[in-house]
Amino acid sequence: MAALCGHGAPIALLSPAYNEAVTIVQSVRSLLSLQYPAFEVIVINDGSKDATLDTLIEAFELKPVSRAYDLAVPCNEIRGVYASPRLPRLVVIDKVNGGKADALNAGINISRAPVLCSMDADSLLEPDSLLRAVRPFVEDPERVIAVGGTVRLANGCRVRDGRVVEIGLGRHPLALFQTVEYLRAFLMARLAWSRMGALTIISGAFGLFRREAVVRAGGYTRGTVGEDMELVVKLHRQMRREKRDYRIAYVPEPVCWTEAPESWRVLGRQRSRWHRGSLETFFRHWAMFLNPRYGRVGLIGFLNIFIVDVLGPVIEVLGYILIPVLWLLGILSVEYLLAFLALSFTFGITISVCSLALEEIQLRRYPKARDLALLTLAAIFENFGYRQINNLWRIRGLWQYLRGSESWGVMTRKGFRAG
Amino acid sequence: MTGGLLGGLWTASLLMAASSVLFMTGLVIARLISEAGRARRRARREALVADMMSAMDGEADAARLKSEVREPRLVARALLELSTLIRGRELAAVTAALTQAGAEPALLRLMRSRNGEDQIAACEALGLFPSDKAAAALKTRLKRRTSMRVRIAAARALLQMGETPDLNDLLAAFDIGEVHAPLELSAILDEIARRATEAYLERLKSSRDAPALRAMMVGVLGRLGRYEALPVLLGAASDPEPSVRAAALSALGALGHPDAEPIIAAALDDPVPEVRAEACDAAGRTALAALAPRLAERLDDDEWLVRFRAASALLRLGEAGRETLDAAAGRASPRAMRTAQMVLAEAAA
Repeated sequence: MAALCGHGAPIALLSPAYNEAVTIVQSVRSLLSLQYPAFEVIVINDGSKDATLDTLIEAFELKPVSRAYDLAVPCNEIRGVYASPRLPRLVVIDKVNGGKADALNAGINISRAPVLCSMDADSLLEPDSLLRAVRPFVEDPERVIAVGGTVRLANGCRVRDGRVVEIGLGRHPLALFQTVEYLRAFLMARLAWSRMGALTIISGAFGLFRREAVVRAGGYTRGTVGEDMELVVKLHRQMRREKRDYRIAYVPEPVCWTEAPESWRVLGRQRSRWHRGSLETFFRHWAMFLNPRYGRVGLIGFLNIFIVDVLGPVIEVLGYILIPVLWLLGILSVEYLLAFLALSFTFGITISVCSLALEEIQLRRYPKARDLALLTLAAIFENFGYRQINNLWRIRGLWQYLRGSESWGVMTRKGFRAG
Repeated sequence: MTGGLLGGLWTASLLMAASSVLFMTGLVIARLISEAGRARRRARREALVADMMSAMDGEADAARLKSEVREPRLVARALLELSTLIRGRELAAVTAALTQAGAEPALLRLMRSRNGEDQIAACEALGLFPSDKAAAALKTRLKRRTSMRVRIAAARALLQMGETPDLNDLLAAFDIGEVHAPLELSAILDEIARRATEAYLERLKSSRDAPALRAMMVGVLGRLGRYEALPVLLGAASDPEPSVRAAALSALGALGHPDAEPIIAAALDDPVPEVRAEACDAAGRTALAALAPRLAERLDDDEWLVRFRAASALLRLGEAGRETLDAAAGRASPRAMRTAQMVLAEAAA
């Protein structure tokens, strides 16, 4: 707590890497150049099959070191810890493969800072993102246990030396649709949920956590695909059970850039996995659903997951199937169908437009008026086709969940646009 | 009835669609207009910066500067940016030329703007124009119920111009609630504690502030490094709030005064792990060799953080601590043994 009361609480950046040999050096250099007074970068090589570890050893002149650590949360065997006297802020862990959650747990065990920052190895952080994200921990050290930041899409942005130097919009329709989705999710939904004290997810691409609280909750749950959401729900559960006064905050400014898939197949896999993660979390913590003991999280947050994630895709897809069937049977009022469809689509468009307006009035990150016009068009056209396909991916996620699949699928990335 | 419902659905849809499209069209048009304005502002700003650079060499075009200060928003931002690059005589030459051009009254006007960002820029820029009028305006701003960021900017500007706001007035102005203490306040408190140490310690003794603020104020004393803070820190180490106790022990460690030994020794048994960990650290940093056996006990603490800090503190104690750690590595409980072995291995590497 004392460490949280000064100018900057020490932060351990946990960056799990699996087969990232091509990009890892640039990512680590970018992390090491962040503007923050006290941080260490812990790269966790999660049993990569490629030359990730060798590349790191060679690029940063790493040597095996002894580091005192505790197995506070479960993780697969740590084979070695590497560091370099030239770069005291960098620590590399080599461990037996166990997935992202397991890798993050290894990072938690090795870390010594009171605040952890979990991120993806291929995400790019804005130079001052840590300074802004740590603010709630310093301003309210007794209560804040986690802080989420905004994740934006780097498609179309110009990237140099691991930094976004020019913000732009991806031109692929999928990138545009996802940009609108991300704005809606972060600027509207997460902000609102955090204000209500019922935020149930902090993106795995960028989130800060108080180490002590994460350790008490048992760390990340291994073998899950939605480990980011699961951890936040676990933290809520733990704090409510212990009757502790706590806060999980969301700060819109700290920005982490990530690359969105521009291939239908890869995007479909990602969305199915996200949906599976959401269902896993919901059913794993089923006891919280509508349980007043868990306050707003149980009563409103879980009700939202139930309606949006559990029932939502099933009802929507069922609707798409039933409409032609009922029409053929002659028991469908086409007039009402069209009126309800219009209401549903225009409501979706209005929500998206509100997110765009928030972005434009408060943040204004996209530099050109043309970008704003393109995003408005995307907010309209995503309702016709993209939204329906998204639902099919979510149904696939439901099917995979029911079959007990634990696969992550292959996430193919195109790479950032060089500056 | 059904016809009414149908009509209602369509009306609602059309209203939402129309308002969305109109709203976004408005925003796009506003953006187009502001883009055109931005290009013009950029050109004016470049001209202003060039004139300010000339002022550094005493070659300012007074007439042009006079016309430029009619845009105080631009002056405030350009001056603040320039002040991060230049200091001393050069900065003084720029502010003198701007004062002659009438920048101070222009910035005072900007401070009354409705736009919060303008108010902040005006406050910060006024910090570079030390005058009674500017100081009085900043003090008034500090007391007004404006946004917290504006009040912080006013406090920083006052410090910048050499004024030291009264700590009690300052904290009353910030009206800090139950838990929040803004991060920027820490830097302001650093400066006030340095300039008015006695008043600062008096305020802390009164214990009337919220725990987060008290913890922040105690943390400032650790960075201040003055022994007169010792009695207050010793008192704060027994505060009912764990965050204040932890901050006090951290500050005591930074101060390194041996009189803190009994308090640090007592804190080694604190019920809160973070406090025990800070106590271990403080014992090591203060080189309290007499506490080596107590630190050895903490090697078997339930919390890893405490065990690790106890072992690290023992290493700092020199020979006596090293011997204690070596002994623990050979024949203590399995938990203490593992901690001692790992810390010794890390130290040896």
